[in-house]
Amino acid sequence: MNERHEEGLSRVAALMQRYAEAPVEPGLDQAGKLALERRLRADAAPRSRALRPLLVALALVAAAGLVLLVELRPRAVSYEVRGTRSDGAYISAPAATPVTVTFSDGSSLEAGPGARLRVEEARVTGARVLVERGTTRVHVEHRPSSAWNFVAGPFDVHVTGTRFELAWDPSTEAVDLRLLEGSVEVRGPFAEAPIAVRTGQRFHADLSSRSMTVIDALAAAAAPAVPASSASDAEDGARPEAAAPSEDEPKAVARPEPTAHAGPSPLVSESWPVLVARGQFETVVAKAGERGASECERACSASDLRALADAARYTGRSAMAESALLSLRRRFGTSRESRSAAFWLGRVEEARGATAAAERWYDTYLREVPAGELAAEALAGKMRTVLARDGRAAAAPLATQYLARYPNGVHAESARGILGQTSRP
Amino acid sequence: MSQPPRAKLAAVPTAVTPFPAERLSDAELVRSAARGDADAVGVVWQRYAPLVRGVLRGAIGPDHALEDLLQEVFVGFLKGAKNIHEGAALRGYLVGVAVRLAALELRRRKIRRWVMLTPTGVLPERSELPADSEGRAALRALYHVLDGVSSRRRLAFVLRHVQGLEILDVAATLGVSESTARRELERARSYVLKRVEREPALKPYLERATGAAS
Repeated sequence: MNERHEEGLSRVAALMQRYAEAPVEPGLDQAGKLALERRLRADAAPRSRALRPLLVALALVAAAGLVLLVELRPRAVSYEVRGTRSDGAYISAPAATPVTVTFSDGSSLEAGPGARLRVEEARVTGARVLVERGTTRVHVEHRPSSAWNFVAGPFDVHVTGTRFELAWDPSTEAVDLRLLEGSVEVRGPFAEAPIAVRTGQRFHADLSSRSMTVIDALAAAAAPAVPASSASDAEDGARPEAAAPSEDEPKAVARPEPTAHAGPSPLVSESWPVLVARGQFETVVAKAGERGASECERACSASDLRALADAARYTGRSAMAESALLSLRRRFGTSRESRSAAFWLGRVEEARGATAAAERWYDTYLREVPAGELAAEALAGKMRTVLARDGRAAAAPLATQYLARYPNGVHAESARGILGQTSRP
Repeated sequence: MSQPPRAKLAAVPTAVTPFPAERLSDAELVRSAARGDADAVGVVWQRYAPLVRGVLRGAIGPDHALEDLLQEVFVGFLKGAKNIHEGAALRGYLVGVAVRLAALELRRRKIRRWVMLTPTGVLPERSELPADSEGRAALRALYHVLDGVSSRRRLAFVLRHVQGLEILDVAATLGVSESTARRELERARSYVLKRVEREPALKPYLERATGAAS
């Protein structure tokens, strides 16, 4: 390398040197020094060392808690199919033999020959099972939180613990439910309210004739046998009327004729909510009387008790209404029906002129369901009872509260009247 | 020689004034810093931050990460002060750490270039470049040239020609033998010279050199 090159290199290197040695802004250098001192203080802080074992212990506890949480988390029920090969959630019973499905919570299903099911959803509290075809015998283990749904066409059978047999024939769109034990509620397209079906009852619905009936066991026993022609559907294996008697029944027991269900019959009883919806209040009261008031209070379903309370209120039987509503409160804890019963008890008491008792029940409802569907009515009821008992001054805060929450509510005018305000234009 | 009166000796304040940290030797500073003495750490910073910054600047050129790297060098010193047995070699220790971090940064740049985070692998510059536009352009061109050599050659060039280290110190800092250091330095020099001639921004420097030689 010649001298010229050496000098050129020196000039270039000098350029770099000038840059390397160029002074920095004093603030930048000072900031760097302070940052270093902060780092030193943080490293030397005794609390961090003292806290280290505690932090490690906390981390271990948190990790253990996480593991425990993962291990103990509620798991959806699992199931095992015996008697056939299940294709995912689909379960198809062979044409000649049944299939058993056992669930991890102790519940079980027996799909009859030719039946087809689908476990659509396995939940912590139960499962949702679609009965696509044929007869299925169900045993649901009762637990405080169990909730099972068996869906047959448009009908949804809600179960908490029971034994029953459910059949669905997709060709005739007919569902048949036979309760062997416990009670279930059926929701379907022909009734707004759920229909309760109890032990020994049989629910039958037919989409083609738009009929939906509940048959008592005694009536079923007295009814003629099912004609052979409608007893089975050999082609797809469906047995809507369960022509072959089950092992629970002797062969001599006759079955009702399906076509007889469509129209009103002395052998046929429709559910109480349906009767109330049709305005047949006296029928419901009479049926409750036949069954025995105390028996109904002890064993009736929530929907039946509510229907009975409504029928009793509409026919001026406040004692019967109160009794049914109190039974709802007592037996169905924190259910929606039980909470609504508090409001209706307020109504019953208000109708009697018992303003103090009425106020207590309205308060109960507002406390339990502050934003419930009857909250506006409960607040208005409380406002009315306080006005009746203690006068306008005492009711004024309630009127103010009502107007604040429901300025356009049904009782807004009454509230403004209590406050001495003029009506809105 | 007269002895000071006893009364005056008694009047000397009893409080011991600490020896100013600024006057401590490197070895004493290292010992104090290892004990967590913030004053000693501050003095180490004052004494060596300009040198370390210079090494980093020379090695990686204008880069926004420079001050962060400087912090890393001194944080490394804080962590490793207890293990520095030869406190008098503090300067060499800090330069060595700076060179290693600079080498890492140069590798990171290559990775950035590979993954196309920036077109050149270099992040935006800080405003520490020479004020004159000619000097700024020349410096950029020079570092652009240096980007073409390996990290080790580049650092050998910087340590020898910018920091003025002897070849033995260059070798020690890079952790290579003297012969390797010589070879790397020679290759870096010839590469730089060859490329510098093709850089328009650097031509004036060479022409001045040519003019001076003729």
